Amino acid sequence: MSDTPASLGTAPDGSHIADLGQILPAGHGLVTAKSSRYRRIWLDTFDHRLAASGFTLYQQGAGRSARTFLVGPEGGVMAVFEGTLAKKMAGDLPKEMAKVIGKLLGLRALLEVGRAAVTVTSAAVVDELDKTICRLWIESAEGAGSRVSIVPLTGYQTEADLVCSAVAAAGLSWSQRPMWLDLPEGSRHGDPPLRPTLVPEERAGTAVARLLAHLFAQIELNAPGAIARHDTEFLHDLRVAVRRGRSALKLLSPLLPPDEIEPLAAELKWLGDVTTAARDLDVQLLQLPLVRSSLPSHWGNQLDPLADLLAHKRRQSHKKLAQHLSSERFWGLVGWDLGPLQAAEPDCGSLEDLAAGIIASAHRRVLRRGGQIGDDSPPESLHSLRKRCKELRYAIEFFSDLFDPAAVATAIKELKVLQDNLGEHQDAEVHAAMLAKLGEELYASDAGPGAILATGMAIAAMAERQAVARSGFHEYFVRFSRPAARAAFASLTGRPVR
Amino acid sequence: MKVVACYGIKGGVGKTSAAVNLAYLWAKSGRRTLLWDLDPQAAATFLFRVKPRVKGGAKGLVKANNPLDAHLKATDFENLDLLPADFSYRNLDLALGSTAKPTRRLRRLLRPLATRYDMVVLDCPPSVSLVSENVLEAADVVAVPLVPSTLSLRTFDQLASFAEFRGRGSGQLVGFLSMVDRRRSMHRKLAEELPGEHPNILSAYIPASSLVERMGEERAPVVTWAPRSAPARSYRALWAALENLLQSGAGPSPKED
Repeated sequence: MSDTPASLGTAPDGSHIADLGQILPAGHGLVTAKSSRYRRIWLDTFDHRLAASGFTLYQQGAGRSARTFLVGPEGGVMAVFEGTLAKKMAGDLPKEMAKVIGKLLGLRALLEVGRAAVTVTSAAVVDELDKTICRLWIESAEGAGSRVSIVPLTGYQTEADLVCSAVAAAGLSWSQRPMWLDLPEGSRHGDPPLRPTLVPEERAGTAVARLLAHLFAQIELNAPGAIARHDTEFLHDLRVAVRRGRSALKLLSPLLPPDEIEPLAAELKWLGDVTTAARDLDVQLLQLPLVRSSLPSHWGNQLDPLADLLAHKRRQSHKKLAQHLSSERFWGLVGWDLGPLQAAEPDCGSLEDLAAGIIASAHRRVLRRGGQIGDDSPPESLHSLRKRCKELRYAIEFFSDLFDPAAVATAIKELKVLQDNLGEHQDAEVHAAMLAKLGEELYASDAGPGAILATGMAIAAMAERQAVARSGFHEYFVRFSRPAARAAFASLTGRPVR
Repeated sequence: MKVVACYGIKGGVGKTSAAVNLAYLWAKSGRRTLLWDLDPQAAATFLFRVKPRVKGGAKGLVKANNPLDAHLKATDFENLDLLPADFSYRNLDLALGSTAKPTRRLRRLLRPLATRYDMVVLDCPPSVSLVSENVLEAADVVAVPLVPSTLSLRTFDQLASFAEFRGRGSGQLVGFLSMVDRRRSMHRKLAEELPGEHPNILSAYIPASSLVERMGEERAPVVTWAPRSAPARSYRALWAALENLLQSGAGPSPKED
């Protein structure tokens, strides 16, 4: 029985098992088994989480002989599933696979990222007693070269290590890179766009234009997934890109031509607004299991009519969302001509100075707004502070390339604690308001008293959640404004914090 | 995880030949299979080209905590691993006797392997001893090869009584005729009549064949290198009968330690 791990390596195109036979340790030989050709489909999330963590997931064969393999970072097959994966969310995975990659996938769906015909040739490496001590596989796909896998067998790890050393000494390089990443374009899906790296000498206009271009690319790439509803993260990421774009324009508005900024800001606001309803419903549906479990015993089941109503509304809002994301207005936005921004030459000194000023000013705003919040302040004041915190976070992230990574990490860590508290408060507020509205609709429909009562209990649970977050705010804000946290921001920007 | 033991009081009746062929057939059917060679003669270990050596010997094996993983060896066949024999297994009785709950030790040792294997085949040494009691405790089905003779049947009945006495039920023990020479009228008669007369004797039987003896030269189960031969067909029939038994839930009810 094959054991994990195995070692993955790349071999020159056209490598043959026979060639490898000549480089084995003395006394060892190869018994070639057979070559098989498979149609292989690789799966990964839209943002390539599996590849980034060294995992490869693929489906091979068709019909009754179809199998799905999960290969781990060390190259060993970690789980095999008889058949193909019909549903592709973490919760739908076979148990053995979910155990390994369930957390990594989170809310992301598995999508096809590449397909190719792969030829697999296998051979047994035998010792002087003709005992098989490990297996060799050569896998090759057109355009992606060949890869050698050395598969150790139970109880023969030392012997397999010797073979690994011999093969490596013969000049084959070892790699964890999944084969699908080397497939030619057309056989694999494109990579998510990389965030542009800023350099201190860059002109502010160019930097902003490049950042915005990247955000527009994110919006454009996530739109098809949001329309197809592969998973809820497509819409979420699209909206994050919109918010970042809006923040960028707002933070840089004093430096850029208003005629260029205002119409673009209006279009980004439009996209943010038309995607809000669908996202709020997504969040409600995602939170529903938690809401159910927060209710006493059987009351959770009484929320079924609410779940149905939410699902119905989500379908309706998705239709509208799909229309918006396919509209000329949407395509006009993602194809926005950023040339004039690029040409703008604000009188602002170096990009580093500009960035430090923007971050310091955003930080001051957070401190000022937070300091004004008292026990009697309305929930809106916390929501407003939350937005300022997001602006500060985006500003740090936009310009992170220009500063010391450790200082960036420390500042974000300090900010995140406050953001989590404000997020919890706002989420509970939004959910409670939405549940109250849905409760009215349930009351007007045929839903029984159980559903109304359970919805009421869910609203009460949300109110409790909000109250807990509210009562904790002061402590979190004091923490954020303490001298050590101020020093972290001062160290980041090089400017003192009053 | 299911456990099938090839067991008999008498030596040289085809226990090891049955064990290696059955283990291979289970592995080939896609079950992750372990063959444990409990016989110090190490014939099964030899057949799979594995060195008959277990670090720490019988004593170390039964005493340490969760010790089996470190001794497992892959065979040349996919899905089939071997736990090799060691000459110290001649004292396995003594080693088992020195443990707490000595008759259940084997079962306890196998328990951690349940996530790793679907099937375990035990190739047992010929004896009635503490090892035998452990085998009866651990196995879902005990397959007993019987040479076609009245004495063999008598021994099988004794074993069945012993199994019942151990509280494992008569369904656990199944016999099959081995080394059947169809040129001999007595063998033919028993092969045809016994399964009908005796509920625990299978109709599948293994013929006497030089091919079975040649396994020592080929060092592989006969079903791999002479798949169309009479013995290979017989082992497949025996495997199918045992597989049916396991599928139908035959065997003893589980016991708590």
